[in-house]
Amino acid sequence: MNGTVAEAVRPPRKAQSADFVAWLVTTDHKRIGVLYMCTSFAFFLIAGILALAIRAQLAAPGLSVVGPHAFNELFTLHGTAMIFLFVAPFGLGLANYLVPLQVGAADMAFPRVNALSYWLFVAGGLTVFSGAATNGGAADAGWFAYAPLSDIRNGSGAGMDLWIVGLLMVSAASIMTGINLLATSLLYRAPGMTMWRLPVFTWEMIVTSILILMAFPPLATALAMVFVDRRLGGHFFDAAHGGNPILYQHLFWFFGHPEVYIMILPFFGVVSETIPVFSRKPVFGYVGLVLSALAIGGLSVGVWAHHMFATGAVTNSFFSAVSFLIAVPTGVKFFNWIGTMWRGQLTFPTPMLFSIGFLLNFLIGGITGVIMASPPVDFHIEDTYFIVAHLHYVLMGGSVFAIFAAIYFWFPKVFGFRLGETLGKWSFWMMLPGFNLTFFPMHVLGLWGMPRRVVTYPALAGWAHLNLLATAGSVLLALGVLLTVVNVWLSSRRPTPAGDDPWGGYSLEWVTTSPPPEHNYEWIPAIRSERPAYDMRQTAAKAP
Amino acid sequence: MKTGTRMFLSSAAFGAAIASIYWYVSHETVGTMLLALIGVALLFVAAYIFLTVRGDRRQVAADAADAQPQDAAGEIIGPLPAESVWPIMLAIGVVLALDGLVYGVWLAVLGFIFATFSGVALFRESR
Amino acid sequence: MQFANSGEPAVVRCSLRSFFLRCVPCGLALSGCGSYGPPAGSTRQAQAIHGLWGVLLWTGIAVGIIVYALILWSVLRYRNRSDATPPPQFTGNPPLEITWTVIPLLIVGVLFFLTYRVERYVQDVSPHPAVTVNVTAFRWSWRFLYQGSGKAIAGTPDQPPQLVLPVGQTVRVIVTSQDVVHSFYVPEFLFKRDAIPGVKNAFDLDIAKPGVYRGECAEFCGLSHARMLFTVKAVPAAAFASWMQSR
Repeated sequence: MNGTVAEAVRPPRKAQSADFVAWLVTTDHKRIGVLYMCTSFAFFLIAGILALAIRAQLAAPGLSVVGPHAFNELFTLHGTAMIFLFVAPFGLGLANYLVPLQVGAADMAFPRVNALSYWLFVAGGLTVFSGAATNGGAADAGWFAYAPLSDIRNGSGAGMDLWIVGLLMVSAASIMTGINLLATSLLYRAPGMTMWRLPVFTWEMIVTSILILMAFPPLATALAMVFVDRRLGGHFFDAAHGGNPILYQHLFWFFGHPEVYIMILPFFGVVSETIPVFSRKPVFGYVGLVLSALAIGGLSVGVWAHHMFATGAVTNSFFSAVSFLIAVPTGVKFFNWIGTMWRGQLTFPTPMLFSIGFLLNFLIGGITGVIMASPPVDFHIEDTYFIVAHLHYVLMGGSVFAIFAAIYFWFPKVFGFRLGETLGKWSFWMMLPGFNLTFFPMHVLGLWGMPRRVVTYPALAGWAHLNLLATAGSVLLALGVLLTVVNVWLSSRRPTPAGDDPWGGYSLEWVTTSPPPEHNYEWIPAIRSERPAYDMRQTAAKAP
Repeated sequence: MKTGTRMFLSSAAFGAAIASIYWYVSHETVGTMLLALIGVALLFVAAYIFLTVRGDRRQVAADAADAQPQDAAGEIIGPLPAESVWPIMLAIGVVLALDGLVYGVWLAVLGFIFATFSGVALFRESR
Repeated sequence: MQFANSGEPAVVRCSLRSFFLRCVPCGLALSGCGSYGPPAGSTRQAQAIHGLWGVLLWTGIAVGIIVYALILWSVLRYRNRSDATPPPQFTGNPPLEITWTVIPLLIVGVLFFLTYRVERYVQDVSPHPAVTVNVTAFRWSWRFLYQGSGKAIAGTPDQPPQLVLPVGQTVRVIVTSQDVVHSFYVPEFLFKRDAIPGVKNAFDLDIAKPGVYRGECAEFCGLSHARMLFTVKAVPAAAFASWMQSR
């Protein structure tokens, strides 16, 4: 396949193309991880551009920058891409890269399946977007595509079908990756790497993987049922023929709420790695962090219908109680991160800045989450911009800030050179205010009763100002993101070698070279704690 | 792998418990079914780990607090696979098959054949 | 957030709170400017919800301030001042960890208890409502049918319908949908209920203040979702009775 015949004739060009083919047929978890992360980041940039179009349309009341149909396509693709094609897959890509390294394995448990997962993910993403090229346009029923709105009898053409089959592929990819990560982290650990010495990131990925296995099958079921309704004349969700629209909501949110934790737990793991390193202390309350991750995972399967409080069809008190309860383990994590900084020696390179940004933003998202766990209050704010604000504080201010922390933190390990600190800090100091300017006003808009997913809004008192403020903030936020992209480009043109361990890292991956060899480790130290790299440095310092 | 078995067993118990509580307070079938199935699935994993992995020398070394790096020597599971063309081929087949559901049955059939062929090749290669 | 109870004049509140919102010019004229919280609530149920919101909000703000202070204090106090000696390598503090598990548990326990009481009240339906209205949502407007009188009002996206209701009497609203899922939402009532095909969702409103309230569809329902509006006109009981007799 890689055409060695012609290699002698035109060495430089041929080497390049052979390189390219090598990426297509690779089964190396590091390459697959890089592909996963780069692809999902590309989807992030696309979805970000869609978001800017949404903010342009909403900058003032009564605008028609885009029409109502285009607007529906915009927010559907924005939500779908951010959730299914960026935040969750970026976490999986990062785990693909890190988990085998952190447990001291040479690769994932099932390398070929791993490659298959990646390609199915790419194909699923492209299939979803290919709907934009069909006659009826892309899917336009929102990222949770409530039946029977997503039924063919209520509009939406082939774009909706492509959305369904695309997400089926993404589901299959996620499930396979979940199994792979679980098998790797449980069964491929190096000697001495007991479960209670696994890095917190790997632990968070174990819980994430279990959640993937719980959550995605109901999603695939719901999608398949909508497809049957649409194309094969089914009536699963068609009330006129005895179907039940509530059933879709149960199946979807039984996926949808664990999915929220699938999108945040990996990044709890990221900051649990970065904050200790930049505090020069071990993580505070390791056991507490692991147990709280398991508690969040467990409780997260019992909160799905807090998305359905206003349906009048569920037992609100049960879901309210569990949703309140899940704040407790999340709070435990928060205090553990603060405890990690407590009495440390903090330095603030870019990854640490983004980690602290994560703490500041996620806290607000967490608190509004507790407020929304109360059904009577939720009756008012459900489906308003308050929800939009909340979910972006969790996913954008939380997960995405942690993603940027991860990018700056592990980039030297993956590519062998650092990202520039100056541009990185500029990027952070633009993203933090940009993010808050964009999304904080949305809390107020929601409390005033502005529903989400409206193409335009009446010129009521204050609405125009706050929306304009949000749009201005989104431009600042986008520029901040752009600076990091520029930073990657500039840093790769004049690479500064990073060395094996630029930060004084703790987990096993900092022991090997940057980038690691194909089989990850030439040798592995004796593992005696959850900080093998630190232990190794201590031993080396003591030795003459 | 005691920790793993214990983790999955207690998770399965949690699934059973939350399913029972949910049924008791709501008498709602869909959610109860989903929660109960979670318990069953986790039990399955616990049983797999308990039955197949215990006693494996590599696992014993991984779980030993004072293990030396060489303790698992010779136990690396199989050679790492070299590059393989079949994952991407199988993915292309699956895409054609599923997109065929939208664009036309002929494409679905083509994709299905392609996917089956690649899948068999992938399976044979990995043995 | 909400300053309804503070004694300061409206202009001062606006100019302080909305420094960069440029809200000052509209401060006197427009009511929305005075408050960054939800409407005070025009039904008895909404007033209960508003009270609960206040408890949750101020609990949240208190927790937020404490945690922010802890983060900022850690960042400022323990920033590296080129100490050569590494910091103490402690790995936890069990009493502290138990404390910050138990205290949040107590807080959410209390919040759940308060929530439960308000929810019981809000969801409670009276056995003898004075008026019962059947609301049918359709793409993209509403149809209101007054039970027992045959009076019906239907709107279009361009002509939003008006639902006339009495003040001081219990009104039963039964919502359903004839096509996709919609949601009957009146922000001033701090309440919405989904309109689901095949489901009849009932709830009670006890309107406390006369007025005209904006209503909207809150569940995304397709092309003209943003135009699926209506108004609720709450009038005194006598005026309502004569309105029912008219036509």
